[in-house]
Amino acid sequence: MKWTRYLKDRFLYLFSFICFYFLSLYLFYIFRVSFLCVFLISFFFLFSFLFWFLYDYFKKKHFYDDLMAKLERLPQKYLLVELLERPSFLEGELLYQVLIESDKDMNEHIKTYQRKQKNFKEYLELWVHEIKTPLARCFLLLHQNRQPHAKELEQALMEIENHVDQVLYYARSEVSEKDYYIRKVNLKTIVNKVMVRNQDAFIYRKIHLELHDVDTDIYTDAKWLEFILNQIVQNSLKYCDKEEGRIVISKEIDSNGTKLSIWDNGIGIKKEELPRVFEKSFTGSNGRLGKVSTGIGLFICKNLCEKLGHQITIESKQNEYTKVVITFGNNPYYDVIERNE
Amino acid sequence: MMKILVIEDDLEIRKNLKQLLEEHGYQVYVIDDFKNILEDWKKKYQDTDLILLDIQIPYMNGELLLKELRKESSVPIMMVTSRSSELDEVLSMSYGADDYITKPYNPSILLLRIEAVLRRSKKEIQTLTYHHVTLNLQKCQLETKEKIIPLSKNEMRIFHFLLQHQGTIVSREEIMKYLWDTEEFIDDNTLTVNMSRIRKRLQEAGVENAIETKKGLGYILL
Repeated sequence: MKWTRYLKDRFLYLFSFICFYFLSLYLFYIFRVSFLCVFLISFFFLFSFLFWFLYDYFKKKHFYDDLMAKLERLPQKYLLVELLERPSFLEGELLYQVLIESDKDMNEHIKTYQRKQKNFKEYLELWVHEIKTPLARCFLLLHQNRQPHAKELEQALMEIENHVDQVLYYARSEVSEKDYYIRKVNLKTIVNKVMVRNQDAFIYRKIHLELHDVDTDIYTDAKWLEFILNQIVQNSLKYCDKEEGRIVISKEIDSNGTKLSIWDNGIGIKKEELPRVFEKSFTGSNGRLGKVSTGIGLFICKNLCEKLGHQITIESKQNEYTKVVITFGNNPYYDVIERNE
Repeated sequence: MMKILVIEDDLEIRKNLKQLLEEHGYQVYVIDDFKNILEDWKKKYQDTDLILLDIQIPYMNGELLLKELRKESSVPIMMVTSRSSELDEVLSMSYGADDYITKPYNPSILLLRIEAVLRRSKKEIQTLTYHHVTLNLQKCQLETKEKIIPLSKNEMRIFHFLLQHQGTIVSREEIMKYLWDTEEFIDDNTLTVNMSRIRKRLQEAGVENAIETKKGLGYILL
């Protein structure tokens, strides 16, 4: 708080005081009060005035400067009130009360939404689990009765299953609470599961799978990672249009951790679109090439990876290849888990 | 014959699962009344070789039932669930489940997993016979009175699959799908190579022209 600003705020007050002072001087002069008396009265008067002024100025300066500094430095501005000293002057007191009240109200407001979001997520999870039973029923029925369109139906069911999973993981990635479970798992087990799931595309479309040795342990949530890999592999399969479609999966271990890469020789991604592929609802020109694309898959992958502490990157050259790399870092925290296990 | 007890509350799934398992040579019991599963099991189904247990069943939580069953017996139990979080799986395994499979499952994979769990628990040598040749699944070899012919893993699996469908035509895709289900990711060329090798092995064992190629359709084991 600058003193000029403070004085300006009290201009009327100062002005009337000065007027009053000169008026008094004039009156003293008319009534012929002795000079010494006038001097002493003026002195006490001005002294006490100055004292009060400075006292008030510094008290307020202290409070407001503190307030502004904390406001500036605090990343979560809504926590400001928790850090303030309770002020000892009226305006400050009022401000303090207002802040507390509005904070409390906001908290309740947020709580309502959190509860709503949580309820919605719980319902979604429940729904997803419910829908899986009839899906399982359909798969079994189709397997038992090979009807003429069994294969097409199975394909459609698998698509439904995939979309259902996407809903589930979207909800999981958007909710702030932690509901993953990180432990040591074998990367090969997860990769194999994803491959088995996508076997039809490989077998019927004759896409060549080159699966290198990925037999290594990593720390992750196996189910989440399975979902992430499944999204990436399905993308690769979807855009692998060439005669000699190829997908290469390999790992690399360096000082930063384990890197899993999924490479395909599909249509690739335009250079200018590459930085945006992880954005929500971004479909790009490939998405408009008559392929169904929601622009959600990679967005969820990125979110889930961030939560799990993995890094996901993509590189591509149009009409040549696309390569997605997931890095499982060496987190010292996991060493602790390891030792305790 | 191996006996499997199916504890599943969805009527349609129960019916189809029973049919599926019976077709693959298992004797299947199902639970229709979920009120006294534990008592029923003690009275009637003590001799089962495997229990397929759904987590969400009426009256009682599947996990609780799993714990109770584990107190009584060490029969292999496979959990079936539509819950798909890692924590659910870890919990179930820690309660003593032998395997955990999530709905909707691929029926072929379910069968393979059941086979695997049973194999682990029984440890008896599994063999199949074809004419005078015996296929030893544990040792991965063909055996005749005179000699032993070792097979590669893929050769054994393909022959096993053909043997299961003896007398019917199986397409190349079906064979490949079976191998992919067992996590052997072979392609077209590898299959061709393996088929000719199997033919050679069978010849060595003294069976001539056992596998016939049906053009455009697949193979048939005579």
